Amino acid sequence: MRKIFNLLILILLPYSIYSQDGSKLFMRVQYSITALEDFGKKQTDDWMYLDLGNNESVYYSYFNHIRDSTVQSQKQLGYSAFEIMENIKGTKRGSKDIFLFSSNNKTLNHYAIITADYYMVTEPVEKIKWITTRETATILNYKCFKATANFRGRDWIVWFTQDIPVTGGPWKLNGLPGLVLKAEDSQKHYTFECMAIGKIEKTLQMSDFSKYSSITKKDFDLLLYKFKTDPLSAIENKGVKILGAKDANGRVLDVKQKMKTQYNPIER
Amino acid sequence: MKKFLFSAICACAMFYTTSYQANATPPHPDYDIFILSCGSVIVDFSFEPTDAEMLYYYDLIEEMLCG
Repeated sequence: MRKIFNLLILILLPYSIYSQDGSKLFMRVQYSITALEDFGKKQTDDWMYLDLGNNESVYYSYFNHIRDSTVQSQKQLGYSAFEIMENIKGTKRGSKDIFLFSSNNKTLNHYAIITADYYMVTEPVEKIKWITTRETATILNYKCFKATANFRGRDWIVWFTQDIPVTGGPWKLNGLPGLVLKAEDSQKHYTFECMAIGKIEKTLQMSDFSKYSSITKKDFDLLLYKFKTDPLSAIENKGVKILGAKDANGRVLDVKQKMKTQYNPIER
Repeated sequence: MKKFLFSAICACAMFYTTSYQANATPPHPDYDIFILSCGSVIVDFSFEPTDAEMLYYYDLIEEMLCG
């Protein structure tokens, strides 16, 4: 089965390479991720898609994609914001961040939403100084090699395969001669594990990103830090006040206490 | 006769006022109530939020309060 899949990719790859349309995506890698973004809360989990093309690849949350699609279709049907809230209540939330690698993996656009404002940060793709080893493991029936690196303040351990003729990885973990199937930082605060790999035929819709405004990485990091460390003040500064809250049993909730955070960023 | 007319006018006026109030649209409250999966929250927007902003804050508050 694996051989057939690899053969299929090898057959399809040249067609995509010589295609002039750089926004065609042909392979999807699905990762299950866990993140301890807040020391005071439980680890969160998400499913992320890495859609790979020849010149572009895009990394985004499956759960957020589903939730967003539901919201959009309900908006088109004329539902009000409150009706949509009711309909999506309790459905799984995912990360709203989108990472778009373009120009043959030289540029990264990070799309994010902070206090309902849409931001785009463009940065050059950093060449991570990976140390590859001879240590091997089998993940999803693929032979993987271990590599380590210190990147943006964390020691990362990743497993990548050369059996699939593409390069890439979850989040910003790129630059290895193969596809990353598993990654975790040394403290296991952030983990990424490949669940599935498949062929797709998709065109990247650049118009989806038109609502995002460009911001420098320095300014974005500062905004994000302020928001993540004190979300209550951040939303109050935007003119949104929480006047009171009750739990399902009618007991008053301490909003200040509930919204306290101990931010543990992936990049530090 | 005068007393009767006065009473009749008062009764009509009261009836009109009461029925007018019953049919009048209640004023929009100064706040919104979000029903969350773990309870509810009263939110005051100092601006007229768009649907997208409303949904963003609903998501954010649900995430912060309900985990």
